[in-house]
Amino acid sequence: MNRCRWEKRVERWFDGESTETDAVNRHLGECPSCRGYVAQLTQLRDYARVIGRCEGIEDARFPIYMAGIRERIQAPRQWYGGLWAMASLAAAALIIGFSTLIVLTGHPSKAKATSEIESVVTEIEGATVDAYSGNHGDAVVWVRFPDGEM
Amino acid sequence: MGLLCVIILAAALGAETHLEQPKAVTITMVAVQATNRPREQQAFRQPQKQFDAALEGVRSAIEHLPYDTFRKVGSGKAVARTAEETRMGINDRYAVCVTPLSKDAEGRIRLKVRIEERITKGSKTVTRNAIETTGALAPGKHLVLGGLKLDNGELVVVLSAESD
Repeated sequence: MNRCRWEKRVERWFDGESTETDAVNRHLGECPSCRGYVAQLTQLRDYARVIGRCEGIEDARFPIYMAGIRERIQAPRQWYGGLWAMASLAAAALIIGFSTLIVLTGHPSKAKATSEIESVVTEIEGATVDAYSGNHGDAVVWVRFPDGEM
Repeated sequence: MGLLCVIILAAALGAETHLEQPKAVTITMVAVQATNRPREQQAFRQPQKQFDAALEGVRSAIEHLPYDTFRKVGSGKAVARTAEETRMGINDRYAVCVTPLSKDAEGRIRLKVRIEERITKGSKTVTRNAIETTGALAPGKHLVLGGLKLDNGELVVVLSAESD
């Protein structure tokens, strides 16, 4: 859209900074572009008036307004915050629990485990029986007879 | 803090339940006759220890024993249920009876093992426990029971166990 060279003069007149009302009015009668521009400025000023108007609180309504603020401040906290805290605590506890489990029990180490004898007896008269560790983690139980006896 | 304690306690209980008893244990038994050759043969003819080819799987368990000849006299494999005795015969005189008891934290299988011996006393044949032992048998390891008389040598029984 072509802009009219009168636009700045029209704008100053609209803002009350210029006194050349007759000249501007004559131009507006001849220039549709400046008429449109003045219409836009008018609309903008109207909106600015509406926005700029402050809502006031009447004295009679002020106690109710303050009571509403107090009510919101003193209201109990939402449960969701506590729920998240509990979930975090439970997750941390689970991690600690499983870590403790792994440290305390560990995995059975088949390579390190060795066979062991808890008890051993024999009903053979006069014989004794020994238990000892053999090669490679084996356990050995051996019956011994008195010398010469077969 | 209370919740933490409860969770740690539950984890500890979980660890206990992890050590559950095996339902069945596969027992492998190899019976060996161990002898020493006459001294003159030891010195000049066969200086090394002799093992039956069938004993290759248990050779590491018996080669340290103070004998120079090892001959297989029997073997057996059986699935033994926990707390139930399973009997495996070796010959007319000896039999091995195995009772799986539990499995410990290291994966070892606790067993009660008896070697039964049939002997003749006067006119009667009786059975006695030549060896009765309780022990923990580690995975891949052996329990070696020996010293009992067998012909002109000694009986050596090699046991291994695997849980399901």
